[in-house]
Amino acid sequence: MPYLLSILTYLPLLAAVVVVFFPKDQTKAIKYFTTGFFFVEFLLTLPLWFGWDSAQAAAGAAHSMWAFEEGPTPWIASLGVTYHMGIDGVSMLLVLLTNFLGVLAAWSGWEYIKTREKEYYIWLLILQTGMLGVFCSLDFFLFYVFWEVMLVPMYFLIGIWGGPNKLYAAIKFFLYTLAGSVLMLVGILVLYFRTGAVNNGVNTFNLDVMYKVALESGLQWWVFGAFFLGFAIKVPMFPFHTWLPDAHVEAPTAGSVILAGVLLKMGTYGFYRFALPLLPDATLRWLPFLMTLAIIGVIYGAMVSLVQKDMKKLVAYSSVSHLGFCMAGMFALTTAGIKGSVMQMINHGISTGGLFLLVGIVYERMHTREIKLYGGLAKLMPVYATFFMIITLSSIGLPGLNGFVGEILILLGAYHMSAALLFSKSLIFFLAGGMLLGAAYMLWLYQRVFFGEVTNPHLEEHCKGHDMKAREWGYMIPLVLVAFWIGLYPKPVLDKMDKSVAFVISRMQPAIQKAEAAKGLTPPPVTPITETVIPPAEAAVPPAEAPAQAPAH
Amino acid sequence: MPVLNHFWHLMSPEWVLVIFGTLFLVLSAVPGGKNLRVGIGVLAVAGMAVALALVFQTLTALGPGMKVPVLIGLNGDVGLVVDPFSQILKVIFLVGGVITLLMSFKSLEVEKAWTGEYFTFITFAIFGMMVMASGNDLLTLWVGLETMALSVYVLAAYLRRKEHSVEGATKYFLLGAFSSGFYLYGASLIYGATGSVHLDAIRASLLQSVEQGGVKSIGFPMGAGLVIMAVALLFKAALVPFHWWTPDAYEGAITPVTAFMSVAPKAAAFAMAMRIFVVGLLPVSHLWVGLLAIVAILSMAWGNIAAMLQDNVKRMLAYSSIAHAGYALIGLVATGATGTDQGVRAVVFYLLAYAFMNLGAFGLVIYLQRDGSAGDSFEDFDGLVRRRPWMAALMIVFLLSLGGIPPTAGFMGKLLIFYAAVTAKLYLLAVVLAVTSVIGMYYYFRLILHMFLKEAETPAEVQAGRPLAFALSLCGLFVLAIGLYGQPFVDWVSRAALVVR
Repeated sequence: MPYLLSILTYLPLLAAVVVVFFPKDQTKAIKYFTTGFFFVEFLLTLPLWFGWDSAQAAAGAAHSMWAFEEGPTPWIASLGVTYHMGIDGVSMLLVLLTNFLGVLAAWSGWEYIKTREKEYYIWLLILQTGMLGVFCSLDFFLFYVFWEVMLVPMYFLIGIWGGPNKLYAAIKFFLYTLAGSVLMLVGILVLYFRTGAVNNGVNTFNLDVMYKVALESGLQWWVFGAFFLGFAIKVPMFPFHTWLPDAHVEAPTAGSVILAGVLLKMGTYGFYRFALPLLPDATLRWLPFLMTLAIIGVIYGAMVSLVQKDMKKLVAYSSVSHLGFCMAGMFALTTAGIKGSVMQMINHGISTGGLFLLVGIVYERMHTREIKLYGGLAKLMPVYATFFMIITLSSIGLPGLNGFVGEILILLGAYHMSAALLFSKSLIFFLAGGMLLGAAYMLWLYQRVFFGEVTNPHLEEHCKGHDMKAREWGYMIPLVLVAFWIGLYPKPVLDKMDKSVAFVISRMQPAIQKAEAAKGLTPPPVTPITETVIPPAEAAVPPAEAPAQAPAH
Repeated sequence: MPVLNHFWHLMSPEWVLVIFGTLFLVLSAVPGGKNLRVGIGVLAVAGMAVALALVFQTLTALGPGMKVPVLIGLNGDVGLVVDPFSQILKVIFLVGGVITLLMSFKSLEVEKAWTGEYFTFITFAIFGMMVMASGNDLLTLWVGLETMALSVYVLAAYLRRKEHSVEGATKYFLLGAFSSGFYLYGASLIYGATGSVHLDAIRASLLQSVEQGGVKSIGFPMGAGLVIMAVALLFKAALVPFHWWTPDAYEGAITPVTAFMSVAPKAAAFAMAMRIFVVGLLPVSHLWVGLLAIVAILSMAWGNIAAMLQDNVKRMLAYSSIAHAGYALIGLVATGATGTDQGVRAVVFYLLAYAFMNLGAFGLVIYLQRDGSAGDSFEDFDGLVRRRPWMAALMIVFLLSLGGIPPTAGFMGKLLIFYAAVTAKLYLLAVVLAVTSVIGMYYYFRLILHMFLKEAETPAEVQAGRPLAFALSLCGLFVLAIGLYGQPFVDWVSRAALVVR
């Protein structure tokens, strides 16, 4: 289908306009329409997955790295702004994730959202357009427009339907992310003014052209700094993470799911799509700093999670830890590391999204998330306890579930990290430590909430006999299925990103080799790098599969 | 004795305004009922629309980079010129004027202060601004400046029975009179240093002395004159540290006048500053670039910080207008630093975008105005989305645009300013702009918060009326159009920027 990406991106906006004309009190119709729409939108995304190989082949034949490419068509010609959409393997997976979680998020709000439903669904739809646009844009201007547009609906989702401290959380979220992205704009412009040299004197925001620009190392450092602020706040990396617990705790369930599942991925995606391939030299120079922050994020996030009294806050801080993993994997700058990082982004979307949904389920019954008010819940809600167990195990990376695939790939990536880079020897230990802590806080949470005797009489009153409802089954089952699928057979997912990751690695390789030469290291003989063929892609996959089969029986 | 040459018809928009303004003055002396007063208002809109059409007509007749002398002195010096720069700025003034008039109807009705003079003064003020955009010597520019300023002083004091209206206007008048004096003093020093008041002659003289003796040869009188004259212009554009009159005058004036003051006279002051600094004083840009850069930083920082602390929407928008003038000033600094037209393009584009978004924001205040309340407290906005979702949606567009969030005109404007700043390697200014606009977003969001997240206890009944509704839709339409498809607007404004060459 031509223009599939544009259709996918703007369809939610169109649906939002339709919802505007619904009468305010027809809440049921609005709910059904919106959720139904999200489902249709998800179905429309499936051709991206199933038609991927042929689309990529077609793109390859046209000498383009982007499948389903649209444009570049001039948009604001005098400023070199183009309309350019397209996806590679990584963004395809993220688009899929976005629309998958979109259905669940819309569905999960049916009973939680009891006021101003119409506005709620309108904002949810606009948010979807913004997020999809971010992943599909191949023009830096276009990307920036979507990147900012998305903040507004999120502000309202938190601000109107959030918890008691919602106003503070909403504005904090907005200003934090805005501050990062406005400075990023300055960096984008610096890069933009260099595109003329490789594009017949015409400056442009088109990413294809930007990839050709070779910025001098000194300037790269500054531009990377600007990008870093924009993306790191979004990820969020320590010490820019403080908006996240506030926003998560106050947001309604669907808001948290989208926030954790998709919005945080935009930061890591930004690094993957822009910072690394555009600024390889600066990446290496910033790497020690970034790696330190990522490791602090992993450990700190996990330790803070350990001491949380509020379930949702615990899950929120666990995001800081998980995203630290993603960043560490990406900055290992190896094929396995980046693949693992992308995998971890998706896994985090599924498992943390699932955890937020689960916390939301019990919150709807008890109206509290205080851990100590729970205990013995397994007796009252056995099905719920089972779901919670599966998602918990997926989150801590038990083999056979999705989390394991990402973590093992990141560890592999860290192991193969070039010896010229700082942390190449030690990263793996920090990450392993983080994984241990991760298991600790999640299992401890599980123990406190589900095991033991029921001490709180309210719990008995509100939860006994109120196990998972059909609707809750409905949105949890797909998550669990996907968690098992990725855990047991991740190959199709990993294969999809082969070429895209190889491209990023090929961009980074000269800088790494230079660093190795400077330290007197010879590049490892097993990885002869050429422009197009990246052998280690296969090397990373089998270890991920082999243990994956173990827990199935 | 100056004479008009055969291009006098290029000044037809100005003639139209003078004729209409005088007509209103006569008509308002005629005893008549409500119909006559409404008639004057409608006639004023029509007059401006005619002038606007004539400006567009002359604009299309002008080739790119063409500069037509219109008023010529006996010694051959040019007093008034018509070029794309002047005509495009005139469009901004007139659009601002038309929208202001459309918004005025409701306010004048509510305040029961409908007179013919109101329309006369708005018309004359715009006439003055048009002279400021077209003037080519320091004295002609001054005449334009005074015509505008005297009209606006009266407009600021229009609600003469209200204490704070008179207070604000008095402050504005006293300081404004001083600044006019400053302007003349500076101009006389420049005249002494260069031997002329004509911008082209000043430029030639400066180029010559720079060529002969280097920049060092520019004497003290020139530098002093430049700084003193800059003070007057910065005052009119309401930039820190010459902004003290702004919040009081803005708060005291009737809201459409506030809207008008924050857009049109500001744009006119920028037009005049661009004429003088870019056409006349570009050879000595090293004397003024640093000065204006500091003023820009101060304005952005103080305007935004002070706006955060306000409890009144009009005062908040007053401080925000100071900050916005600071943003626009970066463009002028960029042109001074590089001598290219990108800075001027950014300024003109920003003025255009700002006109629509700021008039729109003030329009919402007018919308909430009712008997006994100006509609300018934050509480007046409480729960607006529940009562009037479309109005709230419009206001969100205006506020996001003021904050510089895409896809709106304000974002495109800021982008062009960033663009100019980065080209000129003014990274510090770019970073200050970035950081302060985040602060700016905070107080715009305060208003959004009141509209969307608070509930009104006793919602007041307010009515828009057709002219106001039309004006608001027009503003909203343009804010979105410029944001979504900026191409034609950027190209159009680029023609104005050719004034640099």
